[in-house]
Amino acid sequence: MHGRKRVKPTAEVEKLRKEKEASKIKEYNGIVAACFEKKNKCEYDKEAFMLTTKILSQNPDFYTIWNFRRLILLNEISSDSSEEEKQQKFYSELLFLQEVFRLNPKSYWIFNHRRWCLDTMPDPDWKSELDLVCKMLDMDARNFHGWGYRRYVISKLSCIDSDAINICRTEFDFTTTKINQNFSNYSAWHQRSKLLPKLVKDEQFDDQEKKNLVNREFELVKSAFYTDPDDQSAWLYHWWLIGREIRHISILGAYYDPQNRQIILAFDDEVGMLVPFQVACKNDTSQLKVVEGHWRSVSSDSDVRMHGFVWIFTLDMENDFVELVVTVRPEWIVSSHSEVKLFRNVQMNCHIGQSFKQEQDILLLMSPQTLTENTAILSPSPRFREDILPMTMQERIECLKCEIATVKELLEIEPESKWCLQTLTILLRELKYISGLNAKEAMNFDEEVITICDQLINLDKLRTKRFEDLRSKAIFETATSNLIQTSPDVPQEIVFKDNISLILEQFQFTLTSRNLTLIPTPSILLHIRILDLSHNKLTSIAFLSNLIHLQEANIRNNCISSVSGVNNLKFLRVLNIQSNLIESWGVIKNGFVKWQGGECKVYVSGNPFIDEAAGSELKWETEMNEVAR
Amino acid sequence: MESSFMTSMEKTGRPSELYIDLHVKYIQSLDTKKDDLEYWLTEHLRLSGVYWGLTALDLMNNIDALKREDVVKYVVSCQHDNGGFGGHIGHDPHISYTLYAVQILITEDSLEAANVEKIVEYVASRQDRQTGAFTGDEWGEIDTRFSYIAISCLSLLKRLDAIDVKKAIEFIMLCKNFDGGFGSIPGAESHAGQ
Repeated sequence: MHGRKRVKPTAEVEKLRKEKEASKIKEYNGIVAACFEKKNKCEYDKEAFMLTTKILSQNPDFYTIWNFRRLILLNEISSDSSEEEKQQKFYSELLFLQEVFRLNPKSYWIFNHRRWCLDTMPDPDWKSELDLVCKMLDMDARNFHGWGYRRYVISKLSCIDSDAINICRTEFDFTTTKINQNFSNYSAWHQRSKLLPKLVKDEQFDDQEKKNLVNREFELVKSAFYTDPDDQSAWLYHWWLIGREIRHISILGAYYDPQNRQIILAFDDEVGMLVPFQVACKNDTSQLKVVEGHWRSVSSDSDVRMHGFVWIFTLDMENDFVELVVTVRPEWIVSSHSEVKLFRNVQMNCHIGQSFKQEQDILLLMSPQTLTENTAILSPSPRFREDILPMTMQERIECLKCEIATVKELLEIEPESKWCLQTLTILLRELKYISGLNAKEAMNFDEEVITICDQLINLDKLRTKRFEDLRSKAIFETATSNLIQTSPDVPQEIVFKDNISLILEQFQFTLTSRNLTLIPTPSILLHIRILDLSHNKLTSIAFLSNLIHLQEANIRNNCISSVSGVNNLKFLRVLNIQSNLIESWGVIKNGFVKWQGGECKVYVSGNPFIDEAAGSELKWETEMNEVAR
Repeated sequence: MESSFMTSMEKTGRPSELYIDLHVKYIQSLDTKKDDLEYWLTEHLRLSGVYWGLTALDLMNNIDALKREDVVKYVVSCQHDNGGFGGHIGHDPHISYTLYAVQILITEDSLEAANVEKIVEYVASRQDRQTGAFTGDEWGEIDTRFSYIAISCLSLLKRLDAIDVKKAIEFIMLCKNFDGGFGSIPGAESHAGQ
């Protein structure tokens, strides 16, 4: 057993204990053996029943015996003449369960058996069950079995009670009582989160009543987290109450590379492909014809199921068409998480000029087409907590600003409150997302979030990585804001800036000495030729696979221990991975083993495996020659 | 918590390496505690115990510390005609023990010793095709843990085709809560186990 101190007893005491134990074991095993004998012979008699009572009183987790007991009961009541007799048997059963429950308030099997009794007996008394569960929750307000049982009893009551709406209200008030007794009653907050939308629906509130209800919720939550800023319950409820807009997935850009006969599709989310995106072409005859080929994400060599930000389609055929069309439908992709979705059917096309010269590096932009079925953008209806209180965008912005002010007020009293700080990051990021800001305004939000993350990194040692990553996201967003713009067709989406594939300044990207731990949306860097991310805290360069045009990458002074990510980078000429955490030549070889570029200089000094004295660069050339062969 | 553990290691001079031999001996000794009442009161966990012990041994590269034939013979003796496994010989079939059985047999490279087709049938029969949920056994307890168990089991057997995966997922999604966690049934509080 847990938590019991081991005290070495005297030999005499020990001997007595062993003897007592031995006789208990003999008795128990005897009863169990007898019971199983009855069971195997299907003898559902009183003796069998008594045996199960003895066993279960001592060992309520012995599920097989509960099963047998139920069979005995079923057998008994099938021979009973009256409902009264059946009822009586179940009453006794419920009493028995109460006794066993006292010793074991958290056994699944006891609750299962009780439910079975109530579901099987002719006339269950749900009101008395409710009383029972109230007592249970008074004894232990956090027993989730108890709360689950309460929900079960309530659902039964609401079936027979004509006043079903009232039940929702009384339950809601019950959670209010429990929360006021103890603000950190997580079970009560959870229950409330289920009841609140139901209440709004059942009682058919008008807009003003909804507003009042929601304001009271915010008041309740505020008193809770002001009273105990360290308790998670109220904060999590607060986050839920405020909610989050579902993010739109954007296709940043689609391109056709005639020389390699490839279509390149860049998403701003790491998506999986459920159904291959449709590729079709047109000749002069203007008949759309399906194009054969295969899709893969840049993150994978072969497995088509691999998720990725950038997807590449290689055509099986030659460029003897005039127009190329690619279609993506929302149901064909799976996004990286449930709060991010593609909201419309997308079709992109481009025209291939006949006199086109096959120069290296030319990408033809594929332009979005307006699809007739997209006349209304398949946008989600507003938005957060619309099941309780639909808000206009403006109201939502006001709500966020108000909550930000509330939390900042508390922060003044409790400057080291991790919950305040983390809540602020959530509120600020949400406000940034929905506000439609210009670059300068957006940057201000990012900077505030970065400052808060710095504080959290110091205060919350157990979750440092989470805040380092959040910080990196904010930094990256500011740094890449000049590469993208709001989509002219769909304001909730982003696209690459016009002509990005042609503007020389857009080919370089530098973000150094910012303690970056990750690159959240590497597809934004699709067009980058020269990359400098030195002096950061990146642990992986897997994201480089998205930078299909990359020629030079400086990743020195980071925390890289693997060189995966460069396989597809045919144009890579220089890779600086000095002063990282690479442990062996093998790691570097593995990174380049499937690489099909021409020649690449790799700078490796300052890594753990390098013996500076031993002419490391020479050895590297020898090693690379082997790989090239 | 992590940082205080590290300092205590330095301060108190507690072990800094894994004492594999002792752990192996401990696991081997577990089936010998027949003098403890507790041993007998937990018979319904015997099969689970074999899984936990064997997996720990395997992780420590000591899988042979428990004799393979004995393990396989024991596991197979817990299978019922309907394909399900009980917690011990003679104990009623339940989906939880069925997964443990499959995991143990795969770990011991002895899946063919059991009736795999029947296992698939048993696990598939636990799904309510209307809701997508899974019951633990014929007595009808529903819990998302059983969804996990069913999908894990059939995934190991490469027989996910035997259930309605889409519906299974639909049910699980109904159990998602305000805090992003999942509960055992729709409406139930989030639990790390789910």
